[in-house]
Amino acid sequence: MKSTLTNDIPPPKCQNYLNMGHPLSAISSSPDGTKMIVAGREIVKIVSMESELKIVNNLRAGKTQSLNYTGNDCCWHPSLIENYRFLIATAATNGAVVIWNTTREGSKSVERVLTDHSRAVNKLVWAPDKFDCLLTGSQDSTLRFWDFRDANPSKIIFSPKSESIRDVQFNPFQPYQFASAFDNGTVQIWDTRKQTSAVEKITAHQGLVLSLDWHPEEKNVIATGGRDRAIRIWDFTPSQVGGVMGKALHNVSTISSVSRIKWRPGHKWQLASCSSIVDFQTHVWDVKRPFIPVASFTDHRDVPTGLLWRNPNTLVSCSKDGYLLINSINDAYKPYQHIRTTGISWNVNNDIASINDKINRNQNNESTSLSNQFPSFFASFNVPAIPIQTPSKVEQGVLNIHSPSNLPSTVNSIDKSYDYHVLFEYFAKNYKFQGLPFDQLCQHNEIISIQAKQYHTSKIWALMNLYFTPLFKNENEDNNNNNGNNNNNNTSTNESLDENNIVEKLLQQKKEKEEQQQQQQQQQQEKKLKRTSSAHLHIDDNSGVNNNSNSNANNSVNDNIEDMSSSSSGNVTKNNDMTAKEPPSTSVYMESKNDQLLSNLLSAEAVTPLAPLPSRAPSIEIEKSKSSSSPSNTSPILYNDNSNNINNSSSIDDQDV
Amino acid sequence: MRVFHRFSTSHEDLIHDVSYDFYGKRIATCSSDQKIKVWDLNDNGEWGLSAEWKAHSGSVWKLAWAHPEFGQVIASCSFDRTVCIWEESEDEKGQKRWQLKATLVDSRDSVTDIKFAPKSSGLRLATCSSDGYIRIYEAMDIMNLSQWTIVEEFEPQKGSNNCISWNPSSYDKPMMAVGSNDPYLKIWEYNETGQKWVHLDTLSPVGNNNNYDSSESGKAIHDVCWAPNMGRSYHLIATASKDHTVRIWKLTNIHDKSKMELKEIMCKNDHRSEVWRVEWNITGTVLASSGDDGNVFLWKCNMNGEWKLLSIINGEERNEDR
Repeated sequence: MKSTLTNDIPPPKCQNYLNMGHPLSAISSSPDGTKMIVAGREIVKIVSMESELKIVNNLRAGKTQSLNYTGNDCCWHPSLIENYRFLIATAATNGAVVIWNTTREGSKSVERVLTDHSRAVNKLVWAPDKFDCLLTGSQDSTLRFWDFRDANPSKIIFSPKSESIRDVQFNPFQPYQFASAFDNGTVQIWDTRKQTSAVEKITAHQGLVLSLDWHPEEKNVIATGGRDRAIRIWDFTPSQVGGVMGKALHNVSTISSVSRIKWRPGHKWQLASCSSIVDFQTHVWDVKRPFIPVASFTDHRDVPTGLLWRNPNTLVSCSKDGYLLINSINDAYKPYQHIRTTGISWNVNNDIASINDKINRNQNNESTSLSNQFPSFFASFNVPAIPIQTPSKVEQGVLNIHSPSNLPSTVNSIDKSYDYHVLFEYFAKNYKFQGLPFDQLCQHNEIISIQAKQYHTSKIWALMNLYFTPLFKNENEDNNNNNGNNNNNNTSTNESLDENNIVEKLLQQKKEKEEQQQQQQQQQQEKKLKRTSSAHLHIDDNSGVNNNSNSNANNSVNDNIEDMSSSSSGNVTKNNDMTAKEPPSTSVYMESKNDQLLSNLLSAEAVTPLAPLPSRAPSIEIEKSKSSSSPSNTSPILYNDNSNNINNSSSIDDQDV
Repeated sequence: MRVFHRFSTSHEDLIHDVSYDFYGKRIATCSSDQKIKVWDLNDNGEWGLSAEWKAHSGSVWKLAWAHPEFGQVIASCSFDRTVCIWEESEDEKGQKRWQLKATLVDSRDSVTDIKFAPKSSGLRLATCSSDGYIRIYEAMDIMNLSQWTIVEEFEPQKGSNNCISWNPSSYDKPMMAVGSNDPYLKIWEYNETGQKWVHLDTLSPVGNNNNYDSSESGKAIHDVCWAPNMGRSYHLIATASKDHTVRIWKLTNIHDKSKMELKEIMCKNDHRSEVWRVEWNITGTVLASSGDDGNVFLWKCNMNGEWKLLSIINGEERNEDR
């Protein structure tokens, strides 16, 4: 989005823009919205806003380049009355205030030049009720209330003695009242009828207050923006006075000083802000969510200097880069669509710490408080496939730590709630080893384990299912092809885990038994293998991914079995005994791919050494690999430490968290 | 997997990152409320808040712990375009405090990701930013963390970069994977003869024909993670994407450029919503992914080389789960 400042700049992305060619300082709209003054140090022009942007009048054309005509600020008369609707006022850097009549041409367009200020005038506004009057705030620390038709125009002078004034604005609800922003960090409310002192004075910011804006709907609410990188919202209702001092209603932190703010019409608590240095973007903030803007307009290439809301979804902005842009909020960059609110971190024990904050990625509506975001979140997306229990209230900012295994410190072992014998009986009655396809057997046994709260064991069943199902699926297909046997094999995999399904054809049962025996065979062989070789078998990838995963799978199953036999929970060893009790009566091994696979896995010829280590390997690693039988560079911690065994991804018992 | 601990972090706004330290005894979290919080595991197995401080003047996007041989060091990056380095030190009374050691301000836009390099390269930090540049900093003197020099700066593409991941293997040349708003996963490698980082030729598009969003921007890569290479002869890189997919890529033959290949070996869209994080576990065998649907999915490879869903973790459930 951000391009570096080069001379060949691509045009802005927004639809409607106009390059004025000179740095711009301020814009102001005519009361009927059709035209706009665009003012800068060297230009004062009228631009037509209808359909497309077009310059209709250059007020400075043909005049001397007097400093009086610089446009530090500008303001179009707010009234629609015939005499006044063509009047505009500009404030100059040398202190001059110039009143123009846009209907007249050439030198007659200047109605009056008022030069009473000694230093630059930073801001000027027309008085809302007295059409001949305007108010200016200047770098010379005075505010003047002018009647430009009068011979002696600046009759009323306010001298707050508080340093330069950066911004003034009339209260939309009380035409005699105005607020002004000062360099010493204060914001003061004055009454035009009372020249001597301010009605109200608060310290709004540390350092300069650069901008303020009265709320268009909420009475007596002012937003202020300062050099201290904050936007604050204040309530000046008279009864609140005691409490207002020093405490803001809301506080938004921005990344650099705030030079202009403007409340957004139609959205009660949203405002636009831009910055005077560093940040070229204009942000739209919701003051209730003070940390992330609702939308950002990124098209300017230098600091924006003037903001104007044309309607709730369109912001007109001008900038030092000379461009006048019509920004549409639909095209704005919406940070909420791009930020990540979830994090995962693994630790060495295979615990996962995770956070997942719900976020409403379409922040179009009225702002919702944090805890109620949940309903609107689900409305934005498809319903997820896994049914999720929808809690009534979502906690934000919750950190979860998930653990796959028992931590040694929690010695309350699994079978605290269930007696060893009870478990054995339970498993003896409920485990299934035949009569169903392999994956359904595993699923069934997994569910049985969960019901007994043996999560460790249930995970082993889940893993067996995951690893070996393809093995037995292949075999099933082979059986069908070889024996031309019925299609019941396939249909049986689709049937539910029902007790009635145990009744099947004899041939089917025999096949299932054979599958399990092969499985047991494999397990027993792997057990033997594990005992004989201590080194991790590393199979080079030359033989394809399968072998690699197989070796992983093998070793993981090995470790599963190891764990089963070594853990304190007795029921697991009983499993082993139970499987060993299966009568190996029909020891028919079908010639199938699986045998081939198994023999590949277990034969020593399948082990091929890795490519030699590059010379950069530290010497310690070389020593270690020399001591073990294979020159692999695997980390030795993988298979020595049970607690590190990622394959035992089960969980601990149900003690209360 | 079951939830073992669950606690509220009391961040005032959205949390963006959580990170275990090297030993798993401390956790750091960062949030849009501009603060970083550090939690310690005490002897009873409980987590308690050990420090919190306002770290930036904008949302803090990411944190990274440095290897403990360099001390207790955290780096954080933020929307306010800065990267800050914090170190915990003990003063005379034995009080531990986190202090700001350095602020890196070279970026011209929001910094989206930071990662420390594998410790064999020394104390190096890579930062990736929305202005299109990846910058690599090094602390030449590890005793003095306030001096960081910018070692390298390269631009994978114009426009925003979202995520980076170092190759954690100490035996390869320094390499990293970069993900950005277009669907291409890029691998960059440090070329010693030229003394600079070059882009390796292998890149493959993330997008396919049957994706949800056919426009380019719909396939932005949100997160990338390079798996620890525990003895495999190839590398695995996982990506999380805006188009609802989690993908794993296999990178082979990195030492021989003519045969190098980057191939996609898994593509899953079980999240059915944008996927924002992928993380490998310490052995590089289980992949955790998390997305807008609120779930963490764990993936594991079966004997046929197919990646299957191992477990689903939904953090809101307190009771039994798979």
